[in-house]
Amino acid sequence: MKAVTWCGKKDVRVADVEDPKMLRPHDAIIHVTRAAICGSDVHLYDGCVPTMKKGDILGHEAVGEVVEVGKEVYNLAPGDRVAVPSPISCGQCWYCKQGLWSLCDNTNPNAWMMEKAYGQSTAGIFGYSHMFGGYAGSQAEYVRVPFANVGPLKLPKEVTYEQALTLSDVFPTGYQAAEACNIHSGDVIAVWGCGPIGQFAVRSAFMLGAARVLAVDNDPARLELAAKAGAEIADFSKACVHSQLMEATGGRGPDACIDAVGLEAHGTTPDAVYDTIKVAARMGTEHAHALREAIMTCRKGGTISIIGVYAGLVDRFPIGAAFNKGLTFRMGQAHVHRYMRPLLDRILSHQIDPSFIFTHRFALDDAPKAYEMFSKKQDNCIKAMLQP
Amino acid sequence: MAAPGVHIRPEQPSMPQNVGDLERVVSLVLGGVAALGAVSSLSRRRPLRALVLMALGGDMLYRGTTGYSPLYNALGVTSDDATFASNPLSRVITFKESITIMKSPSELYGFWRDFRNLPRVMSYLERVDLIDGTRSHWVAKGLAELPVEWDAEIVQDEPGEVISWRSLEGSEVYNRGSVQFETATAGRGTAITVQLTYRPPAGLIGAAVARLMGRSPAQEIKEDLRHLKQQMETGETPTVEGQPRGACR
Repeated sequence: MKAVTWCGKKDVRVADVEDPKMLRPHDAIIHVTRAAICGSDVHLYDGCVPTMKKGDILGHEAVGEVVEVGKEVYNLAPGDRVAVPSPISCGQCWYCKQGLWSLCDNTNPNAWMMEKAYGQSTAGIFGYSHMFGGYAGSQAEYVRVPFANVGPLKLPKEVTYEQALTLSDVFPTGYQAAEACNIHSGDVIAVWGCGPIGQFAVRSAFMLGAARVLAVDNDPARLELAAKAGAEIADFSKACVHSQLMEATGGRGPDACIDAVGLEAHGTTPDAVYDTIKVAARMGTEHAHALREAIMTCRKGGTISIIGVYAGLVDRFPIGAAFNKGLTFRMGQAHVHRYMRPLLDRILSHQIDPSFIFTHRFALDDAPKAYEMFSKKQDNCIKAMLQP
Repeated sequence: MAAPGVHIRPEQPSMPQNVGDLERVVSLVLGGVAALGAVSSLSRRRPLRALVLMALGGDMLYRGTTGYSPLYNALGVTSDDATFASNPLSRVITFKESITIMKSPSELYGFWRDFRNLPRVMSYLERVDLIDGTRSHWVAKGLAELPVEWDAEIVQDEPGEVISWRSLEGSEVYNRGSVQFETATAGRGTAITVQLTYRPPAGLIGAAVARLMGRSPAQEIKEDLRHLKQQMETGETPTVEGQPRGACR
């Protein structure tokens, strides 16, 4: 089958590889009809994530048709249309039972690796480096889905593959980011990063009762898309974000701040330059400018919701500001399974058509071009879909 | 560490013995050879070489004479043949690991109490056969895949709480172990704590070689417990072996 493989920094190639096989009794094989490229795939593409090996198959967002099921899978049958969540979760451990799907105890075959880095291991993720399990990803014609009795969501015929593709990662992630803000009616929420996650965070914040949403970015197309959802925009290339947001909130600061940027934050402020130098000198891995800004701007007693991916250690973290202002931090990889069904319901009741997020569609064969375009934000690319 | 060739002390009974008899003899012989080499180097005006040989020789003679190696002491290992009962200070290798499994203590106790299940949770074991109600015969994979066998007996057995066992006297490899089962709070199942103590076959060398071959016993036990948890909670252990990948040609 054809698959998108990682061959080094800024080097992805579509290769001919073996079809996936059933390896465990809870597996299923899915024929992928649509896959997507995520902002966190860009971190892999840019070489920011350790423990990648040449030849790894990428991709953690997919929808498709069930082809084969293992003998312990009773809820799916060949022919079913499904959306596949990006984390792989067993459904049986304490974390899964608490709804903390991305923290599953039992799905990382390389748990020892993550334990060394983070203290304990979390769930495996499709196509996301060996520290997260080394699972073959879904930017391919077929994908093996472990614990298919737990993950994949069966799709009714009223939802298209394109709409459902957003349920595998990006819509639940943006929604979780907004939910973590503990929004009270009347709150003002600020979102750093108007990529796909930020776009869904903006829309979810309104769904959850925010009175106003302030969206921070410098890319005109992305700011425009956020404005279309009702956000007020703050362009960080035009003026200092802190000043803009303080002015917009009567000097208070937003009630909650969503960091939908993560470790590749851009910026030219001194702290951003510091990060750039450290990363270039291989003495650091994280650009935390957006996060620092959010901490400084958030109102006292407010909430910082971190949904952008971080991997390592960060310097110059304003813990003093965070402590003295009594901020609440909530963060983590999305517990996708928790949100798929409720968000599908919102799609079915026409509250939202999430397929707006796909600005560019490519054949699987053109994946290298898609990655380049998406990572450089060329042609106003906001999210790229791949069709095997 | 004693200065080379100068402070060789006579055997002190209070110093723990941690070097086996054969090793002591070998050490004495090598130490003697090194000492002679040191003298000859001095006479040939090669002081640096003499110094090195004196250091090595001194260490060898010291451990050969006293049966005590400060290096072994620092590493916490021993090649001494005496049993632990007679010399509580001699070091052996001990591991302790814990894991929480979403099953009841009685369920996990039931699984563990049937020692035939143990190879599933201690991957260095080939198999365990039951002899009678308390005794069993264990076959391990040992060193460099040479099998090592011993008989063991259960010394403590409290259903749902603790099982402990030890190898019988005269066993090829002395070892003892215990597993404790404790209800974990907040409906999290059972916290298991496993303790294993063993003297590796062929003394220190065995453990060192095993480590070199990538089989670090502590990590193995941790992985074994993890696999037990995965089996018990989900019925399978996660894998990616056998999945497709590209070649980047």
